[in-house]
Amino acid sequence: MGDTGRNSTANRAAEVWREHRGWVAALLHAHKPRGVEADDLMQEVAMTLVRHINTIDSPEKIGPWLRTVALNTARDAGRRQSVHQRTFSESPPSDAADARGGHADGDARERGRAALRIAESLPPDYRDPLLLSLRGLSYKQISAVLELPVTTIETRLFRARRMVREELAATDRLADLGDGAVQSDESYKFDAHKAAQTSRMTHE
Amino acid sequence: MSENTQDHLIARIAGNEATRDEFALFESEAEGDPRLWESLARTLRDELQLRAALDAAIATNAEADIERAQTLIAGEAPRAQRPWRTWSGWAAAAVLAIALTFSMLIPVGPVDTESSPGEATGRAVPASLTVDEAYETYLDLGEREGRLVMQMPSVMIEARPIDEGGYEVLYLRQVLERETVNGMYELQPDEFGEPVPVPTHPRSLDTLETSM
Repeated sequence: MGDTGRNSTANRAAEVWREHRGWVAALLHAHKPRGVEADDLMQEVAMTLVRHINTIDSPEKIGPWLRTVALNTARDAGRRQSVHQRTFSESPPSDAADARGGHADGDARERGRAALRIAESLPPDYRDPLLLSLRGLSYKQISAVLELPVTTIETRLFRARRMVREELAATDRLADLGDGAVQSDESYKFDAHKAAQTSRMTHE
Repeated sequence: MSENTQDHLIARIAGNEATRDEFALFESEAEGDPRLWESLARTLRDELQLRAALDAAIATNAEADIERAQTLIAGEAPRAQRPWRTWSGWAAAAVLAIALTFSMLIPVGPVDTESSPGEATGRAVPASLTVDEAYETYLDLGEREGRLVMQMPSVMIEARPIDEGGYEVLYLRQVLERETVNGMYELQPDEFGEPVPVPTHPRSLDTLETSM
């Protein structure tokens, strides 16, 4: 391939990467194993794109293809880690505890981080569309990337946002009770309801 | 309009998917129930906070990747500056090769149990030292000599409860060391299937990672 061909390929790959890297980063952030740098995974996905850009014969296939590459890259990174990788450090604090503690001070950024932790803990069927939506993709674009009907995307996004909202509201109630508050019966009922709801949704 | 339908409408507005007709419908409903504006405001606030948190979480990744991606596309593989916590199969094989080289070059002698730590007797370990003390001594010496690069996290292989209470734990200690050798060898099977050392030409870790 001559210089002109190489430049054309490079330009096409660069253009595709600029268009899609935002949501690819969100997916890798959600799926990467703990302890692995997302930067490294982004670089691997970019390299794969450069190598195979010419094998993708239509623009409609780029989104689903990149999603598959991103998920495989994250999965392979997990396999490369030690199988029984554990350390003798203290147990990390639970996400729920972080969410409650983070929201208590009322800071908008902390509340956003708490909401993000909740979003990241959703089942992948709800988490992935939500993260893609937060990166500015339309329902139609998310539908193309995830290869699901637009109506399914809209339903899952609605439920995902509701789950985040309800969980956040629960932490609001606990924060209002003050430090060291014992979880009330109402919250236990909420958690049980959420567990049942999540279980029902994962079987849909 | 049911509450569920109102929620759907608000979700579409917050998700930037609402049509002009849907906006008009929302405004019409809100005239009769001003609380809908408050719901919409709260939903938009939550959406913005969540979006900002996600942008902050991946900002570094996305932005730092632009230059790397462009460099890769131009055909110049950047020098990977990977932290040592990435442990590749090649590095494990290299350690094996280095260890093999050393085992062939350094004669194994009897253990001198009467020496004290610090004397250059190679493999003498005084009986007065416990295993943990000897390990700490090894780490101190290794750091002092510049041979020890990093102590990696211990890896638990297995844990079983024991009758006396507590657990018997099998765990792996890992230490990253640096060494200079005269040659590199790779274990390859001979005609009988037995592993034999064969001189090899080592690739740099950087070169390997950019070819992955």
